Amino acid sequence: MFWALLFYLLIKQPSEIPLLYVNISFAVILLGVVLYSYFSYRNFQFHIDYSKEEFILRKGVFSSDYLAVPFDKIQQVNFERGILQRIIGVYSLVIDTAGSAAKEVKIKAINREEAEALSEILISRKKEHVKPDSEIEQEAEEKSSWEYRLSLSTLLKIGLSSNFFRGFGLILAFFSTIFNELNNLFNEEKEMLLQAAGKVAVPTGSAFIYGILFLVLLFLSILITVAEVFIKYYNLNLKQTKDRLLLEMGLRTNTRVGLQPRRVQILSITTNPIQQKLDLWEARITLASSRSKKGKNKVNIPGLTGEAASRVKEFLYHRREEITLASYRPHTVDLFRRINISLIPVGLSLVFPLAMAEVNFAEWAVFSSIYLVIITSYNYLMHKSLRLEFSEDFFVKSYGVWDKTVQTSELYKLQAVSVKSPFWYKRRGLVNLIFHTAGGDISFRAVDEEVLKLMNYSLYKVETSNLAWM
Amino acid sequence: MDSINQGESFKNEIIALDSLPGFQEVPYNPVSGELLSKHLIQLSSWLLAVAAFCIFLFYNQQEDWLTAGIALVAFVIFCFLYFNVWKMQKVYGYCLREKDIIYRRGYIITKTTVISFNRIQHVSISRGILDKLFKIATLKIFTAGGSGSDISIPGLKPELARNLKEALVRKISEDDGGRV
Repeated sequence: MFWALLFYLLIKQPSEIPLLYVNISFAVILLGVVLYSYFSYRNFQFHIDYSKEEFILRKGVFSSDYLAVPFDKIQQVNFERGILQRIIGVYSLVIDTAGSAAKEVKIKAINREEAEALSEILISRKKEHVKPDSEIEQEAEEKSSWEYRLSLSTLLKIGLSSNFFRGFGLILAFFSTIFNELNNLFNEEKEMLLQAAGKVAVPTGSAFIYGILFLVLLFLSILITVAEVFIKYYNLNLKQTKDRLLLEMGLRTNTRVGLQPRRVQILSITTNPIQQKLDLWEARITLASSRSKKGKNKVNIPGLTGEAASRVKEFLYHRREEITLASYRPHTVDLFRRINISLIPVGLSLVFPLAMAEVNFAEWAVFSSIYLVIITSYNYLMHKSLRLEFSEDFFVKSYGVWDKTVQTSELYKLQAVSVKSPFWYKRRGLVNLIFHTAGGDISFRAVDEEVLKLMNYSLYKVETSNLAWM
Repeated sequence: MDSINQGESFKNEIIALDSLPGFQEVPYNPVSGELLSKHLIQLSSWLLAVAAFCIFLFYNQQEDWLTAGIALVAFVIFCFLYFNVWKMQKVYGYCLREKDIIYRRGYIITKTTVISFNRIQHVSISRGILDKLFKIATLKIFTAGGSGSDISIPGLKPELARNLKEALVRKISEDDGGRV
């Protein structure tokens, strides 16, 4: 924006006196930028502390940041190069630690020898207690103890019994772009077309047209959903080897993943009433997210039979169902919260009948009551379905109105736990819980304070465990 | 798998559940009073900006009721914000236990986060301009969880922040030594 403004002023050449001021202020800003860059360069310092086994970085001009990364927390050291960096012949060195992309450390301009030397030091110091992935992959090729394949008929069944809302959304997005394009193209003829359309549509009866339109849309949604399922999961093959599950699938781009129990953070198993009848279950596995594997930390395996699903679970979590220690459901205030939130759009939409003459109040009332009935029953069912259970080694959250999901996570793999108590909960003795896993947060609202005992237990599990968690 | 052995050595869950140390009743260390001053300065500069805007409206706007309305709303919001800042100060607290660190903040919604030392990825100290002015620092603790699981404890004396950081780093490496 700054450059655009400068450019504009240079081209446009307004009267002279303001131009002088503008020039002065630009000079000041430029000086500021140069000074800032200089100090930010001078204050950007890093070194390696061998005694503490840490990489240390200081930076900041006005503020100051002091960052210490222990060697063994470093996941990867990467080189990166942008266009500007290519021109000057330098590299970016990215030190990747576990967690989100925001947590990486980036050294923006470093020459090749230094970059290599530094990464050498960091990598060699990092205690290597994990075998690199490729190595295991090869050894896994050899024998598989259990295998599961998806037949074409199962794929079709999955497609037909899936939630069509997604397909519907895709169609809606598709048509709205087409409509926009057409709108832009035929801006002039629009009036005429609308008149012509009006002449046709009104006498035939709009209800009939809408009915047909709805059926066509439904059909298309189903078609798209089925097509998507085929493209994504064609030829799905799940193999269990000694130490991992190998998954292969996909029509166009062949996805191939190895799932090691150690890396699994959350296992969700979903089904809906129709799929349950057909004995179809979908497993979604969330792995520890890291920058280098962005977008690949969720793996979906649809079309498992109940038996296969429990096999997957048993393999990833080493054992079968455990005895439940405690089970919790959200307090009714959570239902009220949901209903209150769903009322917000109704309140906002009140603007339409008030401000616009074309929208009449009765219509608004009809639409909002239909919306309210649907959303309230949805919220009620959702509220009823929520459940949090603790067993000796796991916590399990189940929820879902149509697609019923059971999320299971190992207690010892938790990264941290948070407990929120809004002041209006305190009288009722309620808390909101957040389980922070390396694969994302799982939260559970409005639980009785009793649950804190189990949170202490979870912490106990984390703190007494010295197993690798990713 | 040694996880199984561990499960077996811990059989009597129900009784143990109550005897486990609770993180709700720990004695929290307060943060420095300078943090309150910092928050007050921040809020007051916002207040000045909004007040300047209201005065500008007063001289340039025909409809006085609109200006009055905006000023009133701003007044109410700022009263609330000052109240919140003042109340919040007392809630800020942290506690180091043998195996984890507990951090509590927020008045309207009090949030308590517990991070076990063996899940800490790295630690950093950061100081803004105001922090330097008031001689305080913020200690940031990162885990491999989402950003929700990272904590940053503001309003610590710089030496304290450095000592805490050193202590945490020592704890982290101790834990790793135990893992082999």
